[in-house]
Amino acid sequence: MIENDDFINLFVIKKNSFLVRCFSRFDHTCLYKNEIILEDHQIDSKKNIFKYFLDDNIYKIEKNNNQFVRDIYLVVDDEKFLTINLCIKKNILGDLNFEKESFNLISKIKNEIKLNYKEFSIIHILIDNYLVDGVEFKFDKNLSSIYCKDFSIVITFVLMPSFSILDYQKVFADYQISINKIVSGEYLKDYSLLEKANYFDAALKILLGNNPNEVIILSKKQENRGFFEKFFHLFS
Amino acid sequence: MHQQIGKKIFIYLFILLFLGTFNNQKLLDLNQFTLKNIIIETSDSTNFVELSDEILNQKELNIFFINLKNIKNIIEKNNLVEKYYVIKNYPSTLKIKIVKTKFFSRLSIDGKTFNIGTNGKLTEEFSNNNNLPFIFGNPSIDDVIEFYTIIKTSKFNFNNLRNLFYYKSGRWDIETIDGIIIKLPNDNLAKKLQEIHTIISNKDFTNQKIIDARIINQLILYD
Repeated sequence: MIENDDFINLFVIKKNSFLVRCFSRFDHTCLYKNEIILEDHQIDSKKNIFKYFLDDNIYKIEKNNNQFVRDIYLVVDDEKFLTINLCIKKNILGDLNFEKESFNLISKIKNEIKLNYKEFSIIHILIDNYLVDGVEFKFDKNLSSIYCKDFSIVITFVLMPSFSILDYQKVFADYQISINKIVSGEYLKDYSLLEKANYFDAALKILLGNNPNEVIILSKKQENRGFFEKFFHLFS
Repeated sequence: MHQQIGKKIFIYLFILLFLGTFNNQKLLDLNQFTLKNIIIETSDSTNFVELSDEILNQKELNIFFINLKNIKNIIEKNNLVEKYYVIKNYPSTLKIKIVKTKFFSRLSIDGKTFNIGTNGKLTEEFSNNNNLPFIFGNPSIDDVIEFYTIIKTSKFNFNNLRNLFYYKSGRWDIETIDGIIIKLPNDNLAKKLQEIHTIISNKDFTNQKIIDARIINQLILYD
C-alpha cells in the first residue's frame, strides 16, 4: 500500500447513525460508502458500535483504495456544539482598509473567544455580515477605499468542547488516523439548504474551503519533519 | 360343451349379484374423504391461517392421496416453524402440530431488520424485539447459528448480550448488557468463553470495559 493522499475520507456521526464516504480528491466521485443506522435503545452502546464501524470500514477503504487512511474529515451532528453569534464594531472615522480591518477585528474577537471559553475549541468562524456605518456592505476587490465612521462584523462562532475533540482524536488514533477537520452537522445542514446542494456535496464544499463566508485558520508554522520522515517521503 | 355352459352360468350369476344387490351410494361417494378441516395446534398464539389456506388450495385434496411432500414444502416454507407433526384424522381432517421457532437475535440487511430464529431462518421484524441482541456485520446464518450454539453451551446467557459484532475474518466481539466488550478469538471459543466467564463472575472484577481474548494464552483487560 502507498501513502498518497488521493482521497477525501469523510466520517459522519449522527445521533442515530454513522456514515462514511470516500471521495476522489480529483473529481470528487464517491468511491466508497457505508452506513450503520442505530435504534433508539442502542444509543448506550454508541461508542462501541462506532469502534466496530471503524474496524470494519477503515480496512475496507484501505483495501478499496489501495492506500492507507492517514487522515479523515469528521462531521459531528449532535448537540455538543456551542454557537455564539456576536457583532464587533470599530470606529474608523476615515478611509476603511477593508481587508486589514476585518482581519484585525476577527483576530481580536477570536482571541476573546479563546480567552473566555477555555474549555472549548473553535470549529467554525462564519461571517454573517459586514456593516459600514450600520449598512450592509459587500466587499468588492475593485472598490477603492471608502470613507466611513464605523465598521462592524456580524460573526458566528461554532465551538466544540475540547474534551469531545480529544475523545474523537483518541478513537481515531487507535487506527493511526488523525482528524483533519471537524465540521458541525448543524452548520452543514444549513449550508446545504442555502446552497441547495445535497448533504455530501455541501460537506465537500466546506471541507475544500469553498464557503466564502467561512474564515479558515491556517497554522503559521510548517510542520517540522524528522530526517527519517523526510527520507521516506523523498521516494513516495 | 358342458364346461362352457358352466362358465357362462358363473359369469351371469356374478353380473346378477353385482348389479342386482343393494347399492350403498354413500360407500361410493368419495367426497367424504375430501380434506375439509385443517386443525393447526401451535406452541403459542401465533396464527398460521395462511398455512391452512395454502394447503386447501392444492389440487389433490383426497385424504388418501394427498401429497405429503407438498404439505411438507408448504409448512417448511414458513419461517416461524421450528418443528411440526402432520396427523391424518380420517375421514376429512388434517391435524398439524407446530412448534414455533424461538427468536434469539436480530440482524439488519439492507436497512431492514430481521429476527433470527433457532430454525436458522430470518423473519422480517414488524414489532421491535429490543431485548434481543443485535448483530452488526454480515455473517451468514450458518455462522450465526454456530456461534449461538457455542454461546448456549457456555455459561453465558445469550439474553445477557446486548450486541454482537461480526468481522469478515469470522471473528466475533460481544457486548454484554453491562457494557463489557469481549473480543473473542477465531479458535477455541468454548474454552475462552469459559475462562472469561470465570473472570467476569469474580467479585473483584470491576471497571474493566474491554476483555481482549484474541491472543493465545492471554487475556488482556482494559478500562
